[in-house]
Amino acid sequence: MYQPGDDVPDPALLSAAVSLVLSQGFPPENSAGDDALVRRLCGQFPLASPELCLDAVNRARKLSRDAYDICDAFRDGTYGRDSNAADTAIRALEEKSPGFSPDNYRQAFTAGLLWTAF
Amino acid sequence: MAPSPDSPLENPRILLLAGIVFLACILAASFLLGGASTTAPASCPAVSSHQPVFVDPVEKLKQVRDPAYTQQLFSEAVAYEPLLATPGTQVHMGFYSAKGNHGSLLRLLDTVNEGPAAKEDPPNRVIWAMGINGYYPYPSWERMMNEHWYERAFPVNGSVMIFGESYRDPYQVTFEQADAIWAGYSERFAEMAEPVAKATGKPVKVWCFVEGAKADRIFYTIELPALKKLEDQGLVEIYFAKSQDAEWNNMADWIKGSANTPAPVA
Repeated sequence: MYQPGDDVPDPALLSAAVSLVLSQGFPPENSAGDDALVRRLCGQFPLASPELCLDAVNRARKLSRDAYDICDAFRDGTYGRDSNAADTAIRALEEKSPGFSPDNYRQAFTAGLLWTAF
Repeated sequence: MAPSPDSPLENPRILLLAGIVFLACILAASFLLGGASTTAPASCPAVSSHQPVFVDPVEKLKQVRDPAYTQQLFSEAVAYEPLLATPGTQVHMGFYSAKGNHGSLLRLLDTVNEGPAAKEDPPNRVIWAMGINGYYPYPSWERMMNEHWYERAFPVNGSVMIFGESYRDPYQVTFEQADAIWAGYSERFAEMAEPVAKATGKPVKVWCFVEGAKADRIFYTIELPALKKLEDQGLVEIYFAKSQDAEWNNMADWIKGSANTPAPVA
């Protein structure tokens, strides 16, 4: 089991945290409800300590904040306007926020597209 | 072949127990199915299944571009909060665009709906594109979320990944369609100010947190033009927050009128 702040987080715990954070449907600026997310995550992973759950939620929050910025730039055309632009943007997200699975990046990218649409 | 003496079919107690279990199952099923078709009362949190729904994007575009969709949103809002269609209620609508403004709008929602203004005579109520507050989404919003338009616009090897699950989408969705569908939803919501104003007899007050907003996003391209049309008809009053810290009940924090619309950032 990894410790908070380690470079190699538990992938299943982290993925669950990403799903929980992104399924809130809101831009990442408001983390007021994160205590509830930590409790829900620990409920899904009874062996994980509250510190580990909090760390996973914090990492997922950072991913969502980075996804917002990347998607904002994507809409501005920073990554081009062609069919490769999305993949380029997702790679930029991976560089900005390492340690997640390919599915997590794509999930964060599509959530960011909704947040930045408005 | 005749049942043996130990057969459940010959034991009246087992038959009675089986009957009770059967009836209980029927009652439980009817309760659950009935509950699924009703809206959540304001005292009950809305249930979100996050179950993906794969709708034809062409059909969805037709739906959200139809002015009847505005009436549908209005009906859903009134089902949650009847005061939105009660003569005399001062209804407010909130809009946001750009980073940092969503939280400001949520704060305004709480200030109006949870503060003294909600209990004034006549009462104040504020709504936004998602719902009647930060917690209970309109069924149409929830459906839009479950339709996962942006996930579907970027499939991987023909499969759509939604919260870690892989799905086969029967329709092809483009990024442009996903944007257009959400733009259509947003425009219909902005136009909801008209039935609200006509039902309450008061212009809707529109509060916009758009500091740092860009010209090509939904607020400036879709929502604001729709609101300006309603402003011209006297159905809405538009206010722009001077900053993300603007307090709803401090008019010095606001700029009134679309004639004073802040310039979007480049």
